Amino acid sequence: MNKRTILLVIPILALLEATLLNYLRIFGVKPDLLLISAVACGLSLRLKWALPAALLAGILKDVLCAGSALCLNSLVFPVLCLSVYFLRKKVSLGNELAETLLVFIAVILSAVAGRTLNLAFFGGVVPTGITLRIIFLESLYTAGVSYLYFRMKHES
Amino acid sequence: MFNFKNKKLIPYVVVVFVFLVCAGFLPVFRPLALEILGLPLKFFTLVSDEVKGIILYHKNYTENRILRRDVDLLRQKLNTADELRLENERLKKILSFKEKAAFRVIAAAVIGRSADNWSSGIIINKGSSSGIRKGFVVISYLGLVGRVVETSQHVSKVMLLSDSSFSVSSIDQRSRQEGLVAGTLGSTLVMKYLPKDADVLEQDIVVTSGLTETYPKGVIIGTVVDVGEELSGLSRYAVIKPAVNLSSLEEVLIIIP
Repeated sequence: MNKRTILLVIPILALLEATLLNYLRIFGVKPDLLLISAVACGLSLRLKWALPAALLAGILKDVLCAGSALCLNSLVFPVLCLSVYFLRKKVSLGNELAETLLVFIAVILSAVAGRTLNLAFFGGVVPTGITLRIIFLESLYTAGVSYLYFRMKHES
Repeated sequence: MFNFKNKKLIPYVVVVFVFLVCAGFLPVFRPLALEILGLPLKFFTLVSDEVKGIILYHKNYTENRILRRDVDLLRQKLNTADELRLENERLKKILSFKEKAAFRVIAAAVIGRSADNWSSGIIINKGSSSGIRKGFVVISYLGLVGRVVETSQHVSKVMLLSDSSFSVSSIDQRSRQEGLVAGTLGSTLVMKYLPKDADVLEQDIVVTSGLTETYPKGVIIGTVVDVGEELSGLSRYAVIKPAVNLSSLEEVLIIIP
């Protein structure tokens, strides 16, 4: 996808995540389209475009989240994008399954980092059962959606 | 992997750092960004509602038929109630009873929901221009909804009571037992710090105690559905079903202190 198109698509994904995706929740969990965009940017763009795009995704997510006093996503998304960018330089990620697996891992890492920092700074405790349910379903759901995107990308 | 000796990377790192400082950590930026997103959010909400209407067409149709029947029944009851209200007003005038509103409220529509799965919040279409400030309490006709956590001129963010960072001092309406109600991100809330001999039973109604700043006393939070003992054995907890269906909020009321 064109780099300018990606920068235009990210705000639309953010708006979708705050509105329409609430009707597509499975067990109270919706896919993280902004995280998919951050990983996709790391996979397909040059660093000078990928980083601002991932940062934009992170900022938009922070702006639209109720409990994000820490601006955590603004930090995590560029780091994830940067990691994916360097990983793609070292390892061949030629097929959609490998890319989907990367999104799956990225969701888990993002969730674990978020929970740890939130617990350390604000003490907001979420019951273990609910934490595991969200991590498991969010990573599966997001990876599933990202598979469709990567499949389309490889076919086009 | 991260070769910082490579000087090409330095400008990127600097740009990211400056972006983060400017965008992420300056509190003035976020209300501005929220304000900018306000208008497209309203548009997307309209589109989402239409899509929802199409997806849930059959359910809505059936619901509509049942509701029409209910409306007819309620109209009959309303007529009777109107008579009683007028009689009540006449009697109050005779007794010179001054009617007092419990609190002043502003109505707002929900235009968005929290973008992630780790927080529970809504975005409403009223902001500081309507007199809304951070910390104001949000209710619906059925009970407590949450509190305002961020405002811009025309848009505000509300943290729902199911958010894990939310807590409010509460009281059992029947036994007057105090506790702290906190969100769990799930469909229920938890009333914590109840003594071992606390008189809290299933079906008890829990209301705000008025001890937490800005929260008026007596706003319904929910109903006790389960009572248990903490692992330590020193205190008990009660599981509460919120009075308000937090997943289908469309309009809310903001209390102006």
